[in-house]
Amino acid sequence: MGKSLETTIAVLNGLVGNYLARTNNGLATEMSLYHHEQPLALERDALRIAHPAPRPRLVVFVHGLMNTEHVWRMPDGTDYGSLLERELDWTACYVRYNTGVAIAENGARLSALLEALVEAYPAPLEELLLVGFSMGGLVIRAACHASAIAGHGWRAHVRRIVYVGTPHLGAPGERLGKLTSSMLASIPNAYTRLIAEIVNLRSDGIQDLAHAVLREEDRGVARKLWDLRDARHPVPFLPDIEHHLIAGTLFVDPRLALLFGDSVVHTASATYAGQVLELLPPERVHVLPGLGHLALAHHPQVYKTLKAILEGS
Amino acid sequence: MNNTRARWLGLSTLLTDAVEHATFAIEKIHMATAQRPFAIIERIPAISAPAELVHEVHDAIVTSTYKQIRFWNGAVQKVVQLALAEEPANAARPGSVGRDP
Repeated sequence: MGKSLETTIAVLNGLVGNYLARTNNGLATEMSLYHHEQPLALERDALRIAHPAPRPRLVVFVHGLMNTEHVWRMPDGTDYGSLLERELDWTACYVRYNTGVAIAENGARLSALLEALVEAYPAPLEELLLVGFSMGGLVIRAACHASAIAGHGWRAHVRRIVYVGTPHLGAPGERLGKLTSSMLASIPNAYTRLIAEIVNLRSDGIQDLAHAVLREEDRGVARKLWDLRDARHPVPFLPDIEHHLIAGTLFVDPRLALLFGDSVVHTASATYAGQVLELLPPERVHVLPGLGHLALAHHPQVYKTLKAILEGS
Repeated sequence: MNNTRARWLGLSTLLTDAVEHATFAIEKIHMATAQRPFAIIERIPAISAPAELVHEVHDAIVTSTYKQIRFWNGAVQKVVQLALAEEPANAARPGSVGRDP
């Protein structure tokens, strides 16, 4: 019941989360670390209780649209974090947030959260690894951008970021939504305009996915609807961090894989269209055939890749 | 306010807002749909005057009906708020970062 309720609230947050937050609605999820289904205070004592043996290497997982931290859980009850704790001696933390809020805003909140976490972490911190699934990867990128503006110091601990199924160059599904609503709104009919209004109720977070908007000033800027190979993103990857991209493809056949991606995120978008080779050499771009979008968050093959990335240094 | 109560209150507010917005949207469509036959009938000279009167009465009844729905919707929300809001509503949850003002 608990998990179903939290999942339902996460879906609601994804759909209309910006509205819930704006109206201070009790259903709006506040960004927080979660430990055993409960928000974890960013205080040394609380962190010490949650993690009695904190390791010098800390990994923070950031989920995707309409998810909670439950999305990371594999059928056997483990997840990437618990396996990394057991096998590679990391400490794992999980973020839960309102995915309907604009990505830029969530980025700023994540930056503040990571700053507080790094300050309160009850052990000397050697490395902070960030792992983002789908929208979570964009929120991490927005947080990196926000940290520079806010003067936060947590980024100094980040050597690597792993993006899992992240639509770095946008999501065609949401672009289709934008096109549909604008077409419906342009028809001079009360019914189609009502449908357009309903379609337009979707949250800021969803709308930001269309073109992977990471900054407030880029919201509402007109962009090409269909070109997923235009890598001129206004917020480039930070050059001082190792970026690893993990993408899934629903079909093993390369032609179908190219067409359908992981069913939600196009492969070109999840792999940044292979256009920034100096920052993303082929060994940092991992395409896993036969894996759909949601499976990327809890699949042994992804964990194997994640483990190989971490062992590779 | 504890988390569960805040969520119940949040759900009731969300439902109230949904009904409020839906009634405005449906009222708009209702009026737009009714406008067409009235516009045609009102162009017929023989029945133009009574048709205009019927049109006005129709609009007044429609507007008042939707207003009534919104009034009772708001009243139910007030009752739910009173029933649920026993403590101050702004207690932040531990570990939370930011919230829209």
